[in-house]
Amino acid sequence: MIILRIYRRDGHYDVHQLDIKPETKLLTLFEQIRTGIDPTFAFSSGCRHGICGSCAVKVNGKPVLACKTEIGSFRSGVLRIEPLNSESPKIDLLSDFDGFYRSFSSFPDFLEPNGRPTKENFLPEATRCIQCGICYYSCPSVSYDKEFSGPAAALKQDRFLSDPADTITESRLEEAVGEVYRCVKCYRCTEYCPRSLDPEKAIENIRTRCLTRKEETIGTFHTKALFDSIYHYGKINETFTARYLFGFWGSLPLILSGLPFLFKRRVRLRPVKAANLKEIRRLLEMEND
Amino acid sequence: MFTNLNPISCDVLVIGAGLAGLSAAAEAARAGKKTIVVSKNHPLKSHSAAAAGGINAAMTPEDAVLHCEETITAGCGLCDRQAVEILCNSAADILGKFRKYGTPFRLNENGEPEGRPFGAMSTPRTRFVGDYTGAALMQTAFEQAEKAGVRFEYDVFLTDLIKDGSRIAGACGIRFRSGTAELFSAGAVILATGGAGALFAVNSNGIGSTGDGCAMALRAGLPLKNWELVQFHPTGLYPSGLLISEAARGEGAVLRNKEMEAFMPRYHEKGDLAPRDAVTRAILTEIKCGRGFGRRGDFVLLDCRALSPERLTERLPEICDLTETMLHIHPSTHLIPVLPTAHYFMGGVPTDTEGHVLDAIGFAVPGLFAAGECSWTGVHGANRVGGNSLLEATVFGRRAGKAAAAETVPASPDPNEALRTLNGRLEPPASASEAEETGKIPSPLECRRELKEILSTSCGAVHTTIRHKQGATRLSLLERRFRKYRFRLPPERACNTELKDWLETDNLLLLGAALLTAAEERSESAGAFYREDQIYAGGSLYHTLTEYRKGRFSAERRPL
Amino acid sequence: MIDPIVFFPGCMPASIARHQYRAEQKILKKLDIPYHECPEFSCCGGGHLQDADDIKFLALNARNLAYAEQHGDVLVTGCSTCYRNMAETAFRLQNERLRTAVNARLDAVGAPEYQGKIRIRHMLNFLASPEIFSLLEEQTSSPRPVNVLPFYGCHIKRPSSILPENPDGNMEKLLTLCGYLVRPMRDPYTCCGFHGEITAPSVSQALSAAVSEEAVEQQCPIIATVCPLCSFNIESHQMRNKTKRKMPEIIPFEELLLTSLK
Repeated sequence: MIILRIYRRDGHYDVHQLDIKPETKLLTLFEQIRTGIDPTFAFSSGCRHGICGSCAVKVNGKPVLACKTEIGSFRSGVLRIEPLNSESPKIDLLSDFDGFYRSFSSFPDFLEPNGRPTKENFLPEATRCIQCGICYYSCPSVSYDKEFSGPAAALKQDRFLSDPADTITESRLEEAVGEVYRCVKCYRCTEYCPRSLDPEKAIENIRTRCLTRKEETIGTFHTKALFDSIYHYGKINETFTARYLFGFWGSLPLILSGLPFLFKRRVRLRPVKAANLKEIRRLLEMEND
Repeated sequence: MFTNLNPISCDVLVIGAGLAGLSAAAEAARAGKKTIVVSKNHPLKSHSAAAAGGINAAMTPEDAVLHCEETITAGCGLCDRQAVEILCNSAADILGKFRKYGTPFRLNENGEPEGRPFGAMSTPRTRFVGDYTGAALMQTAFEQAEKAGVRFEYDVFLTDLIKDGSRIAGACGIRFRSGTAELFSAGAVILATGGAGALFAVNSNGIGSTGDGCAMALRAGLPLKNWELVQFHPTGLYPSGLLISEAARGEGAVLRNKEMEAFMPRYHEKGDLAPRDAVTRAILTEIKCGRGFGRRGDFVLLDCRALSPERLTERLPEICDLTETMLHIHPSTHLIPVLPTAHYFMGGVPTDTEGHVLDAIGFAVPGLFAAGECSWTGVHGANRVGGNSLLEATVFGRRAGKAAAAETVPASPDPNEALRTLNGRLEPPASASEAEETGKIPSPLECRRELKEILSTSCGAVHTTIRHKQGATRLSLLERRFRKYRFRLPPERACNTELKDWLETDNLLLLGAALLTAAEERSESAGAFYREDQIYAGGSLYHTLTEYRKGRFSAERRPL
Repeated sequence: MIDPIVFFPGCMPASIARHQYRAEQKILKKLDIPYHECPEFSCCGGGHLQDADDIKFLALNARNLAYAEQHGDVLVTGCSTCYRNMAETAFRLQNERLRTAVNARLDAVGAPEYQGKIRIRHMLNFLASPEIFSLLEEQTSSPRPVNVLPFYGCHIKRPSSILPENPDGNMEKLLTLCGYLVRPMRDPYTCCGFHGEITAPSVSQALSAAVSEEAVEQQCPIIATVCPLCSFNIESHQMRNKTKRKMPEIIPFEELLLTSLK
């Protein structure tokens, strides 16, 4: 016996108590409800097998594709089903995806080709992305920072950046450097992607590329600060990093804000250094091929 | 009832945002025309993205000739040679364009797109991106259309074509999100709405493949050509019919019956890579002879075990994903249960090679174009070759876009007429049948389910006149009950799913009736169309034209 | 007798979150679990080394794991980010080719070879595992009926495809044992925003504040954390946000556990 609580247009939840096989897909169930119980029950669906990305919903807070999700795959016997984008106006299981679709236009969303297509196999992960919006609407940075274009756009961006036939790397990176450092690395995008893609890795890849730019931003500088801290101490040293980032005077307020921690006997003043530091330094100095 | 229409005007209106629609729109926009693509879903949710196996492209002129011949042979004599030649000769160019703009085709050691063997073909010329070629092409096409300046209006459901005099001058419909009525007026309209796979209970199509464009054309008094020629793909996943791409057999999978016999060589010299109609009929024969699997013996098995797990995940990741999601099996260890599934409409709105829609006499309808699965261009004949549909969508999509852009004429359709048309769709017909007992009034989706059941039994892969007659009777009864449905929500309601379902079902009922009429007219088997009660076997070849006028369907034959 | 473990404290507990470090050491001692802490341990990359250079990130972590392998079969860390980074390294280095490439680097600098045998565990999962839990059961005393909000954060759970263990319910299990009243958090795996503290300060602030707010709402004077980065970020944002309201205290779960050990 499974209890479904489904969000409906005026904000209440319809409760359905069903005796149903646990391997039934959520989408099948939605269709049954629309067919036999309530023809006004709105949800969207398309291909029925997880390649169009139309049917993303939240089940007990977890975003899933309804067509690929079995009812019995949840630990709880009560499923609370809500639209994916909880912040937009919602009608039943439909919510507004315009923000997500717009996120792709935060950078040139096409290849600017050099006319010489690659002669070697190049199969970017982004080709398998189905634009379901799950990563975007579960990203905390997106929900608190409306300027952020989100994980799916980064995945796409990374695809063009790594394409040897693309010619506008510089301008892509210029856009990207303002985007990718808005991520807080919570790995929700990678966790929930129904296609097992890794947008977080794409963000990391783009960040690596951003380091090649001449212009320094807080993001690239921060990465370098941590890198150098590890180089010097083998560890992350907060004082070192703060000075690196903000200079001696600039870092003073930040360092002073740590005083309460000192009084709470939480701080070790003498910096810790790793043994065999030489190994670490040589690892970090090594040239990549 | 709607009281006013929100007018939007453009030069070229493309209805449908699949591969054909996007190709056409990009071409029209590049020609400097203000182009709008209207679709009922977001473009990237279009069903072209589900096309898996690949796109056929001959890289050399010699191979193009061969491609052409093989397409015509597989088409069982119903192909239009001129159209097929255009199709096959444009392929290398189209493929080059997609490659240039970033579609990551699998390449061979020479750096050229690798070919995969496909049904009915003697050389491996199906170019692919894993087994999600459609999705990859769609992405590139969408990016290029956006770049060309195409405007997209998604979540708009268009219901009817609107005329200005004799010219098609736009279309009206409902914006789903807001529940407002819209009138798009355009100098030229391109239909690219895809097929109507949703007519069948077991089909490989998306839920939205309801043939809306074909229904619009029928309602505007235009004919459908060869509408009864429906391809059943041999390998749909049992029991839902979701597509297991032909790429599986292209890569080396074989079909097996209950005795674990690889039965295809018995039926066709090309074995498992025979044309689709042959494979489908072979499977149906095996099942009929009691050599099917399962309690009801209604499926056969697809054996991919000869492929290494690495090859499977590299080249057929979607098939692995599909079988794992739906049946919790992996093709490298388990055999996949398959059955024939309704897949593709070879027929549709008749067009010439430039995409002009033709009327019943064969004249071009001013202002109307069509491309993709909703159109009949003559390239598929009576049986489509796998990998030709993506090619058709791009080649003829572009041609239609070009022609439409060149022939736009300022148009001003009458908004009042559009409003009348739209409201007329929602009004119950003032018929005398009001009082008569018709049984339970079904919800739109219940009605659709019943319709699917009727068509699957009466008009499936095997045809007889008796079944057609029974089907037609049941269909007209169903339609009467359908018309009595009373909406629970007013039509202006935002996100009115009920209304959308109803309108789609209305289209499907129309297309289902057209299908039965057309199927009855074709009295001899041809390709995918197989008649059990064939009376003449004279091998005479003809096209059928189905029309809908004043509430009646009529079908007639046309010589080739 | 429990098998010896390799203890990886992480940079932050060893430098500015010593309370957690001390608590962890004391618990291990009280439970009589022999542990070894390698002086050679470096930083795991802090979640940002992969932004600079992926292969160096792998090499640095592989080096730590290689040293750990010399002293035991299980590595336990009390920092979720270290745990995630090391788990990612171990997961990706299952690939033969990549492991060979990384080991070549280690060899070039004179570090030991990484064999891929060590098991990586988070302190929470380790303490909640049945054998350790039964030891704890014998030793806990004096129930403390205080409301606690259990906050797990991201890196102990995500991405679950590469992490070796699922932490669901472990903190509840341990804290209930100590007699705390554990409140259900709406989303215990939400992000504290630490990794965006410098580059996306507003998001980081909002995320941290949301955790504190939920504790206030649920009338919890204590937020229990499993990661020093979470504690640090939530706490420092609380300090910067001067408010008259009494804000909840952020305490590593190890400290809470320790106070109720005999």
